[in-house]
This record gives sequence, C-alpha cells and structure tokens, in this order.
Amino acid sequence: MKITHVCLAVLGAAIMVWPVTIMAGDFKTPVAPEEVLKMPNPIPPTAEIVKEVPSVYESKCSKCHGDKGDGKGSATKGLDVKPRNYRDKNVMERIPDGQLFWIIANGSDPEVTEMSGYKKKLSEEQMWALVHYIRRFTQ
Amino acid sequence: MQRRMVLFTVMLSLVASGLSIVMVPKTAEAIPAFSRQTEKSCSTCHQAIPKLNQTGQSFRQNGFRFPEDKEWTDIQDMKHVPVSARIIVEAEYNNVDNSRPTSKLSVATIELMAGAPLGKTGIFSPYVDIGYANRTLAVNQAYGQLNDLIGATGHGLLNLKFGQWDTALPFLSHSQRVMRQRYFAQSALGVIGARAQTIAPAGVPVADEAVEFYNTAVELNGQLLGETISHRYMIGMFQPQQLTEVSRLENPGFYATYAATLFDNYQIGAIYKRDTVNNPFPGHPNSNRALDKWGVAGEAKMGPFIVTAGYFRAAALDHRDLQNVMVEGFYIPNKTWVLGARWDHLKQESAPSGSRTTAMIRYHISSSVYIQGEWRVTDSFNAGQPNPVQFEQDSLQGRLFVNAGF
Repeated sequence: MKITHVCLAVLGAAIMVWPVTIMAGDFKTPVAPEEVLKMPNPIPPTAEIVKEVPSVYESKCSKCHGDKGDGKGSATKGLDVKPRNYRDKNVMERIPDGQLFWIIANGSDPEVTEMSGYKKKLSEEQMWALVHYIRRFTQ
Repeated sequence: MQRRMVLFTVMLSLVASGLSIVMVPKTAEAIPAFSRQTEKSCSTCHQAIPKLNQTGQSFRQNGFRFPEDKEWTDIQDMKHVPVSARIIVEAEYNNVDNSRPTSKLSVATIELMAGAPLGKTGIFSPYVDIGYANRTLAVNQAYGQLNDLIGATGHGLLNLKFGQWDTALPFLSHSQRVMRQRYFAQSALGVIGARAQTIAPAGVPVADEAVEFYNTAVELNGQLLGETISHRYMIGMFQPQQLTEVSRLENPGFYATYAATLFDNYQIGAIYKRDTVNNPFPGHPNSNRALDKWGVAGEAKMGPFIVTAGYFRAAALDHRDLQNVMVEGFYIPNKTWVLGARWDHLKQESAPSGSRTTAMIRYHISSSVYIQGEWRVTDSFNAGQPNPVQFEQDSLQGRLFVNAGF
C-alpha cells in the first residue's frame, strides 16, 4: 500500500513540476552547421530533376506536412510540436536552403518531433530537389 | 516477510538488468510493421504503446491508411512484410489475503500481428493477432474491413468491419491499456471489450494477465475528421459471450459508440451495449435475457499529461446493477519514461464495493522495447464478510514486464 502511495505522490509531484518543464522545454528546431547553412542549392530546378519530386514528397512528407504544404497532414493530430508550415512566407524566407536540406537529411529533435532524417533513404540530389519543391509552396 | 520481499526485489532487479543488457538493440531501430510500412515512428500513432493518439485512432479506423498515400500497392510488394511480433516476459509477486505470498517468472505472451490495406485503393484491410499464453495458442483479434463504402477513397467515412476484436471506445479500450492491469469495465462489466465467458468462482482471481477476451462482431464504422472537431462512430451486432453455443446467433447483442475529439486534445465518448445472457434460474419461462450496458468517458491531454475518466454501468440478472468509476492518469515527459496511476472502483448493491489502485512506471530501451513495473492494490471487496470475494480477493501484487516488439 505504501509503495502505491509513493508512486501516486511521485505522479502528483510531476504534475506540480509540469509548468517548470514547459518553460524549460520551449522547442527550437536544431540549426545546421555553418558550412551547410551557407550552402546554396547545388542543383538547378530543371524540369528533369524535379520531375520525380512530387512522388517523393507524397510518400515521405505529405502525411505530416500535408498535400498543400500547410503542415496539416493527417499524421499530425495530437502532436505537441506541429510540422513546419511551408506556406508561411514570413517564416520560410528566413530559412536558408542549407537548413532545409540539413533537416531533411538529419531530422529534427527526435525527443520532441516526429521529423526523422532521410539521408539513408534518399540521395543528396533528391533531398536538394525536395528543397526546390518545398519553396514552390510560397510562390 | 521483509526478508522475502528484499530477496524478491533483488531477484527482480537482477532479472531486469540481465534482460535489459541482452535486449538492448545495437541501434534504436526496433520498429514494428506499421512503422516500417508508413516510415513513421511509433510515437506518431501512440501516446504510450499501445494507447493510440488521434493520428493512431484515425489510422486504425481508416483500415491502416493515411489518406495522403492515395495508393497502397507499395505495401503489397513485400518489401516490408507486414508482420510484427511481441514478447512479454513477466516477473510477478502476489500477496493475497490469508495465503502465503507467491512469485514467479514467466513468458507471459508471444504474439504475432499482421495487418495492411490491400488493393490499389486500399479497399480491404485485414488484421490478425495470434497469441501464445498460458500454454495455449489463441486468436486474439482477427478481422477484415471493407473501406470507403461511401465518400472519397482513403477517408473512411463508412466502413464495414467483421471478425473478432474488442468493441469499445476509440480512445479507451481493453487492447489499448498501457497498464497491463485490466479495467473493471472490461473484466467485470464487459463494456469496453468482452467479459470472460464464465464468471470466475469465488476465490479465483480474475486478474489474469495473459488471457484476452474479444467480441465477434459485424460493424459499420466511420470517421469525419475536421480541424477543430472530429467524429468517430461504430454501430454493430456481436455474438454474446455468455450464451450457450446453440443459441448465440439467434440472440445477437447490439452496440453503438460515438466519440468526438475537440481541438486535438479533448475527447468525449459514449458506448451502449445490449448483451444477452443465459437465464440461470431453473423453470424460468425465458431461457435468456437481455442486459443493458452503457458508459461515458472523457480524456484530456495537457502537455505531457493525459487524464482519462469514465463511468460505466451494467445491468445484472438479479437487478443489482454493476457500477464502475475509473480515473487514470499518465505523465509522459519524453519518449523514454512513462509514469501512470489508475483508480478503478466497482460497486454493486448489497455487496461490498471495492477498488483497484495501480501505479506504473515504464522505461523505453528503444521505441518498441521497454521495461514496465506495476504495483497493484485491490482492497475492500472482503469488508465485513466471512466468505466474500465476489470479484477479486484483496491483494497486493507486483509486476515487472519486459515488452519487446519487432
């Protein structure tokens, strides 16, 4: 009986501590290393290169980022940290191509978000092509 | 007594540390079939395995489909075989009133699970869950669902489901319980999931970990998902568990559930079941009787906290309705730790009411491998009765589980 009460007390204490953890846990997207951040997109947005990108986006990205890139895909219900809204022009203008590429490759914070890295599943060319595709949502 | 407890604690610790060393994977990539198929992590659909979040509830009710996929042929190419396995190893300690404490270590369950949408449009979704427990091989859940009878492909507005599963609320069900301890709403009332086929005789605990009970049913279900409010409904007929084999299909049970989700984080739901049971009174003109069962429940997610509460009621043959109040809370600070507690109270007229209080802690070694400890207290059922135990003996129980899914 005593152990049950101790466990309940621990849970109660956790509830009390919650506001503190919320303040400490304000989410910030990881930032790419300086050299990647400054990299321009090395591939041109030619028709041939971006031809296969819609199907890559559909299979890998749209469940969370949505068909329209608004971050409201069907796999986002109940998530505490919502996916990036690619249609938000103000935000997207401040994110360099290198940062988008680096997050696609390595993922975001795995403890807080569902954004996993795709460097083992996609080629570098495909990931840079995705950056072109993502930019289209604000055009 | 204290020495025995210390010895048992040491034994559990050794077992836990040994198993954790053996079972820690080289990389934290122990992902079951749905995760492999969809390329999403376990936590996309689960708040804490196996409890589903909004995304998981939609995915399941939609025949294991995300609408954005549009085509589901890639799942059938067998690149990712849609089969998962789960092993649960359990160490237990029981101290039941008026008897010597007992303890044991066992493989509680070995389960094989398979499911996937079939066809280019994902028109049909089968799911099978076969388990080996207590030296018995049994089919736990096995069903098929015809998807999208009306509405756009991949949205699951109206589906037809048939087979065996736990008829319950989308957010509160027997198969979604994070604590292995059963809910009274299932084990005693048969509202969320099915009750045991026979009521355990006096003195026999009904808190068995391994034997699972599901309804065989035919159901129409669907969901309508919106930005601020989503609706999920199920309406169906089931085969009553308590009837003799010959009369089951002549006297089907009926059920209906509805649940709404508000602003992603708040859920309310109601369930109604019309069960049929054999009438045990000799010479009674009716050989069976319908019993009404119903319940309401709500759930709120506030940051790392999830609180669920429910009230359930089931009619009884002797007109002494069973009532159950349940409150459950979880604290999930990250993807590694889960803490939880539950208070489950059962009441029946002219019988001693009683409660089960359960506290749990879980540590994830990887996304689908975890160690879980539960401490359970069942009390008050014995109060004031020399030969009591209508549901369960007063007891203290300790459980340590190692769950590995792959």
